[in-house]
Amino acid sequence: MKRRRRAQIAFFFAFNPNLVGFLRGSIFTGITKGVCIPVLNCYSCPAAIFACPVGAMQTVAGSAAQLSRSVLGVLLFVGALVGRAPCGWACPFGLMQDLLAGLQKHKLRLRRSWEKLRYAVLAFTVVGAFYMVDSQTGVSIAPFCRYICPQGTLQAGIPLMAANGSLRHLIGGLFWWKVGLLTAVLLAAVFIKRPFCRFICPLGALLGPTNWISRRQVYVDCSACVDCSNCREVCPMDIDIRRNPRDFQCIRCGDCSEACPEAAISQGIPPDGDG
Amino acid sequence: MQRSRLSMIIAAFGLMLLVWAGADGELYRILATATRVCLQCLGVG
Repeated sequence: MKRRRRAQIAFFFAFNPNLVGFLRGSIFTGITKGVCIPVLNCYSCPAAIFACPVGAMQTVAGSAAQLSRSVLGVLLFVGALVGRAPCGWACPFGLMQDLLAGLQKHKLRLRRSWEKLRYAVLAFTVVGAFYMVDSQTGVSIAPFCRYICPQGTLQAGIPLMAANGSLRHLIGGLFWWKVGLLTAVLLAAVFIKRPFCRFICPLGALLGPTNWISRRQVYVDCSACVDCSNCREVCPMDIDIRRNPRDFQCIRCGDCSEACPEAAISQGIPPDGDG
Repeated sequence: MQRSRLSMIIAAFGLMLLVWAGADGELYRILATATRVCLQCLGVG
């Protein structure tokens, strides 16, 4: 098993160790739930012991009418050091898509211009959190969690509905919409490389620009490149790293450097410090 | 400015935001939400 896959599985269990919650149909309520992690990991998952930054951002926007400093802090801190590496090495939904991608070798290649959709989803998430407020409670309805998040449906919605009978009577059209969306994303992940990360994820849209300034960088030695395109073929985000090593979609997974026969691609911290 | 120095400044700024959020009680606001079953996440709220 590849080192990255081992890391993804280890991070999954590090973020979701409360497995007994699946049997009880209840969620973890310890103090670590106040801490955000820089990956999409639903805090309503029975096993989760940390907070999801997208959910937390919407909560703070709705209740305090401000951008969450803890979410921005975590994303800036981690992003400035390693860029989008959490997407490639630690995100549970990224792991799910990577596993599904292994079922089908030949992938559909979509135009990169469609990837801008994730910025529209980010805008909907942030602006909606401020303005889409429940008229009875005065609290944000968390539009991304409510209408889109397939990770919430997979990690929280389906397991809790299965284990907790008192919640089951609440199932309505919205639940089935989200189950349909989850099914569509998971099916798409078999035929398209990481479709959720590339086209939808608001967290990836936020972390992406940190690739430009992050301490850890990808380097491509163009003089050693033999144009075999192995790097493009193995890239889980379907980018051509030779064109732009700081591409906002690069998740720093290192698959390209492993696939390069000439060792023309590397990752690391610049020794001279000028990145 | 050297890019690596900029990255360390931004990382320090991120850490400062985290400390500020902790001192200001924002983490408790997140804790209060994250320890309740989120009906939005479940798709029933």
